[in-house]
Amino acid sequence: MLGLYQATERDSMIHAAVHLHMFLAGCLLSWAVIGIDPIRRRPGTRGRLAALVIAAAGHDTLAKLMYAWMPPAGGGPAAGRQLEAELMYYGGTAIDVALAVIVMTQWYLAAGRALARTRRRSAVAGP
Amino acid sequence: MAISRPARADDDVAGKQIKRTIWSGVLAGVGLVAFADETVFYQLLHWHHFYDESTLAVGLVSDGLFHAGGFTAMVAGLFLLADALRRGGFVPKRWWGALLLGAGGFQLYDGIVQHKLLGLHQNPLPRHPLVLRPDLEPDRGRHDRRRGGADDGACRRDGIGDVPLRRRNGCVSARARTHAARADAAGRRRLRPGLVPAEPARPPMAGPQGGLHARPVPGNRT
Repeated sequence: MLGLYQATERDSMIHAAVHLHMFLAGCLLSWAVIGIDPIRRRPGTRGRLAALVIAAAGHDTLAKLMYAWMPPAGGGPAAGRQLEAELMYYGGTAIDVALAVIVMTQWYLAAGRALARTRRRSAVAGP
Repeated sequence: MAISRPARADDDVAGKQIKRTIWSGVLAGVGLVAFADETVFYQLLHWHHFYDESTLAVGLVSDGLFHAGGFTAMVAGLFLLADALRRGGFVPKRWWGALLLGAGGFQLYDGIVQHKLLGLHQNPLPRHPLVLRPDLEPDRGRHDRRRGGADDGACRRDGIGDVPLRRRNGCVSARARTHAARADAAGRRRLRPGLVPAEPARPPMAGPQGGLHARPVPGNRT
């Protein structure tokens, strides 16, 4: 490791900054995946779901690595860190499922609007 | 033009509906199997663990994908199902068939690629399926004896840190398993070969007084 972890242990400012960074990274991911602001070239539902799966898989893998190999060095007692790793794993899963539900809800609503539109049109233009 | 258009749109809709139903079933099947595997086999029966010592790095990545992908597939499959129901003309048999297809296909993949090729999820100890909490089982040495494996003295002589816990194919030797079980019992961290140890896991030529050696190690000091 780069010694960042040890630095966070020593300095509460660095500690807070790292936490803020984590939090903002999560916000950025959520914004990119489920944000409703109009942005250019937002990928479709499949792309966003794929991005979500990859991000969640990385998160899970990191949690398991923490459990198995316990980086960073010198971080404390093993049992507590394994508990934290499990929390990271299952907590990440919960958030992943929530994000997936939101993505699919957005798709479901949009598809519903498209369906209603199609039905309206075919009712108007129908025989 | 005006006549052909609705017909084409209808064809399109029907085709889309079939496709959507099938995808919904396949995804739900994958998600169902992934969920059953995790919940029933890991968490209820403890057939595999959150992490067992034989898992390689590629296994962890694959496990993460499996976990995240399974839940996401379930969510997506159920939403697709809702959409198919909403559109009408839903054929339940088609959905159930696709569900079985997804479940079976995923099992095939899991069995061949994950278990056989990658050597994942090798059970740390073969157990009777009815023993729900084998970690509470007192008779730890039974397995080794059955296998005709290493005697306890040999295990202890090696010391925890020196034993490579996995072999190349991802299997753990009976001896390493015994070690892992002991290390678990003592609340010690397991050392991975080739990694920088976080803290001295084993005081060199340790006595049992060390903080990490809560349990005396008999047979080590002769």
